[in-house]
Amino acid sequence: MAVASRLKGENDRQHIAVIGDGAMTAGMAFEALNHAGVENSNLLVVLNDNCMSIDPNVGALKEYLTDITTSPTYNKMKDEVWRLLGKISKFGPNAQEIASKVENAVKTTLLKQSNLFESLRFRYFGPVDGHDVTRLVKIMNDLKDIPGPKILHCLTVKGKGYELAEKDQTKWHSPGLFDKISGEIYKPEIVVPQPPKYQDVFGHSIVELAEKNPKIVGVTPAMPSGCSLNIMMKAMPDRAFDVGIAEQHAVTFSAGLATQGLVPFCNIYSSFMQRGYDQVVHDVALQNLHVVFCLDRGGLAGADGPTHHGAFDLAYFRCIPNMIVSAPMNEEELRNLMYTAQLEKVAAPFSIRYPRGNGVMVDWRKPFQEIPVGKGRMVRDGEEIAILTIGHPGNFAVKACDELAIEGLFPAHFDMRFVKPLDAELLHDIFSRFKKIITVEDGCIMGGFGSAVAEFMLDHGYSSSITRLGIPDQFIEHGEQKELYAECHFDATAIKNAVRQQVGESVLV
Amino acid sequence: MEIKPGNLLKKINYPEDLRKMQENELPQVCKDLRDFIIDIVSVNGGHFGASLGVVELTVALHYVFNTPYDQLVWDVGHQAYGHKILTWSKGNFPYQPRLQRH
Repeated sequence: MAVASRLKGENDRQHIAVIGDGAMTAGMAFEALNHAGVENSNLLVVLNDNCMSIDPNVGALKEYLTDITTSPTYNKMKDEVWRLLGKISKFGPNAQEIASKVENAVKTTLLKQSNLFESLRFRYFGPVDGHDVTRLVKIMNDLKDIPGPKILHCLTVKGKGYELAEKDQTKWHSPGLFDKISGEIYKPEIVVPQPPKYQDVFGHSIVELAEKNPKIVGVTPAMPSGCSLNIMMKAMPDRAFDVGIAEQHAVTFSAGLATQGLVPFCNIYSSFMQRGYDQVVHDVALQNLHVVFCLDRGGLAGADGPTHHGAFDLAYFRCIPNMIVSAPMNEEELRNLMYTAQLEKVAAPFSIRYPRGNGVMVDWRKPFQEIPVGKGRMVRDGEEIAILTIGHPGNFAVKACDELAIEGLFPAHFDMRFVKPLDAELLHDIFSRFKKIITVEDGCIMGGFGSAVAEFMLDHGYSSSITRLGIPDQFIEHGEQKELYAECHFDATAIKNAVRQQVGESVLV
Repeated sequence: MEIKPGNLLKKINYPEDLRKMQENELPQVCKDLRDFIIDIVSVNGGHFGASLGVVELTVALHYVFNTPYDQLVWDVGHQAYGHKILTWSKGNFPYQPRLQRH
């Protein structure tokens, strides 16, 4: 935007980017800083430093920022700079001249301690108290008159002004509904035991597996509580890594671990995996390294909206050579896929994707069992129509089949488990027996699981009629998961309708 | 429960309304904004801590800079509730809060 303004001659236009210290650990932030510095555009970066993402930030950058904040040399120099800046406001039109004096003052002092941002050709100001609005206004007014790339380092407290939120920042990142006076967070009353969240099944199961297999390590980019790797971080802190908001690094770091014979479980939200795609292709798959990708939030993520829906992973992983692409229908399947993925004989990139939220099994902690790679399973046999599902939506098909039976319709249901490799033996059998196929997935229809089944049909000369249910070719807004499944037409009701429609067609013919 | 913005905040529908205020009124604007976010999120759910942390920053940015002519970019939506309240007009906010959960 700043470069565009310059090209358009809008030299009075200001450009401000607010970035958290968490987001600052991602490579792209540095790519932009590196470029902005040489473009000399009119840009103010406001670094909102609260030492937190959802969980506390980690890494050397965080320590660097803390060092700056507490350095006595720096603080002394800072006062001098602010004194000069005070003059700038008074001088008004002569601001440029004074600005260069300020710049020199800043640079001279800062070069001594080699300020990271200065070396990227940004003028660094701060740190300042991000909760003193009067001071912020004064400082920003001064900075407005200084041309070129600038960075203002603000120290803030996440949850400021709500005591409980300041104290437990992770819990209050997104607390749900609460009583603002007492601070009580409302939880739905639990009367009967509920199935666990898929993420917790992952969290507990990786610890169980790692206890038996010393090669297993866990990796997360800043999502210890979001993906439940925090369970392993607590149980075996030296074998579980939070690398910060840095998905590309999380993937290549895992690749590096795998080259040395370890078996990393790299847990990344499906949507955020998009940031590390090149690394998956080149650093893992091309070398056929044994990295297990656990993609949490696969499919429609609910209230978090279009940035968080994991719509594309089945399609974007399926086309990568060497990659095994799987999705469990329930907790037990998740555990068994995790168990299978870490076996030495598998030794290939292996992805397991599962949705946000709860599974379907209250009694989920069953003994691990190997699942042969590329083998699906028949959930129920039937006639005329076959419903092929991948992952959690298999449960929608179970419900649909139960209800259709009352109407006298008996479709067969297969949980394919793997999008790649597909279970060719099972598919040959299905296409030989059924002329009507319905595929169901919590992922984009285009290029996903249903597409894979259709390709199989074409490649082998079958001609069945296929209805593909899944996420349509558009960005889906936020909403409750249930509502979104219905809206995208792949919930139990939609499956029933698809079955009825297929039957109706046969009547017409 | 009907949620009402504080006396100063209710005068602000767009950033130019904020810029008409006196500098010494800004701390009260911040307080109004913070209370409003707490009220809304407690009833409607959504992100909480991140937006509370940048209340003063948000007010200062819109007060000093000529938004939306000057361009302002936030890294994630869930620290931008204050920004949305100051720029979207308050009536919309309760219906738009659940944007992102990182």
